Amino acid sequence: MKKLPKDYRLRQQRIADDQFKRKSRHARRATRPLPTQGYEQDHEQINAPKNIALIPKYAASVIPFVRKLGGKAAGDNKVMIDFSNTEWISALGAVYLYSEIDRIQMKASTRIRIRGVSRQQVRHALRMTGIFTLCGHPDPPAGTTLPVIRGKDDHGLDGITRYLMDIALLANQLGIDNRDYAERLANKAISEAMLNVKDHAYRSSEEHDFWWVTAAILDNELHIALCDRGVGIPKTLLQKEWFKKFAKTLKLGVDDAKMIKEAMKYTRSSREVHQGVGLGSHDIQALISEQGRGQLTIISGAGHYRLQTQGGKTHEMARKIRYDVTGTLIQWRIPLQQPIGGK
Amino acid sequence: MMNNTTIDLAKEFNIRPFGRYRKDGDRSAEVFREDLLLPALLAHDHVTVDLGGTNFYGSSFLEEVFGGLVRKGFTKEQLDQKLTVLHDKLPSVVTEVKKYIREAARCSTG
Repeated sequence: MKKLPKDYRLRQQRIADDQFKRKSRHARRATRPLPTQGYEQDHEQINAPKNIALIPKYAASVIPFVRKLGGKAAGDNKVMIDFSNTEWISALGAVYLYSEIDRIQMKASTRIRIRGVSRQQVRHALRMTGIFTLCGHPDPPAGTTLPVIRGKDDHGLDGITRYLMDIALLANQLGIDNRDYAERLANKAISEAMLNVKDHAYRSSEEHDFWWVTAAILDNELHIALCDRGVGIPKTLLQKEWFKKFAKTLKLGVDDAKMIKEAMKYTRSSREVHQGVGLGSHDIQALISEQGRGQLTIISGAGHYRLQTQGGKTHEMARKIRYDVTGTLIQWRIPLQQPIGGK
Repeated sequence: MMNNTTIDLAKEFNIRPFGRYRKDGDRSAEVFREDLLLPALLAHDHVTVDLGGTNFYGSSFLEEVFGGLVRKGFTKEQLDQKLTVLHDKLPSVVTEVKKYIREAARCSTG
């Protein structure tokens, strides 16, 4: 084999060296540790679970973790969350975790710290939802995720709707011709959920009666997740006269999952909606049901409810979860018609 | 001669109405109905409510404004004569308002 000229070989070697250095820099940047120097000694460590999501099989480890976090951080104790074992964070899991850290930091003067983030999806989720920033790690979000917003009433709703209309190109992606109709459909679902938080979620004595919301494009689906940390739907329903009569006829007992399911079913039937009762729930479901595909998940108390619509058919599921979620979590998942870049 | 008026909700009330009751804030349905719409209905032969200019209507807001008129004593027939609701881009909103008036009237008659 003919030997290549020396200067050519040297040039190729220099190119290869540069490429190696660039790859190494990139690899180092992707997995660089968070600046936790000095925090380990005086922060109590708590390990985050492998999967931070609120589907029943993972909720059994997520809810106790969040409770433990709240307990450890009480009284201004310094806490560090270790994500070394965490492999996946869902949108709903992220907003739930964000709301807990936010509540802790609102009450206490301390700041929760983070360490051990090794998986790319986990880093992406923590960055995009703003959890990094919330915990004082500067890592600005970008792309097709709306960082978690905390709010009251409907403040911030126009920003959320603008995000949905701009980033997700909602009308086209949902297959709805009328942009105004798509905007109203999204807006009324989220605003009615916010109104429910304002009117029902918290006791009047509560100081921090907030909701938290995020939105993201994940695997070509639009995810919108909203949560409050109030008393939960089942406890609220039991105070309503219309539901007490309704529940008695169905003998619902104290099964949180069944109560949520039957309340959703009741409010879907427009003939049964008397004097506006249940319109908020109706609107919350309409974002899925009126455009014919997608999934609505509601987790509250010890109940996990899911409404799925596809090809004109609707399926419902309700099951008890082992642990009581403090508050209510709502997630809409809507498949998009066309892939969006930067998902 | 008919004494008519038009209320442009987005311009004269708020571009982002929110909530049902006065306790929900000054953008709520009860505030709009009691402070703007009812006085207009009492003072004029015909009122047109233009809902165009915003798409930010929750169902709770619309039901409390218009279904609430029936609960305040108007009959459906009176509202058919005295009230017109418009939305230039979302006819579904107008259909929804009519439904709430119809439902409220049905509930009031038992």
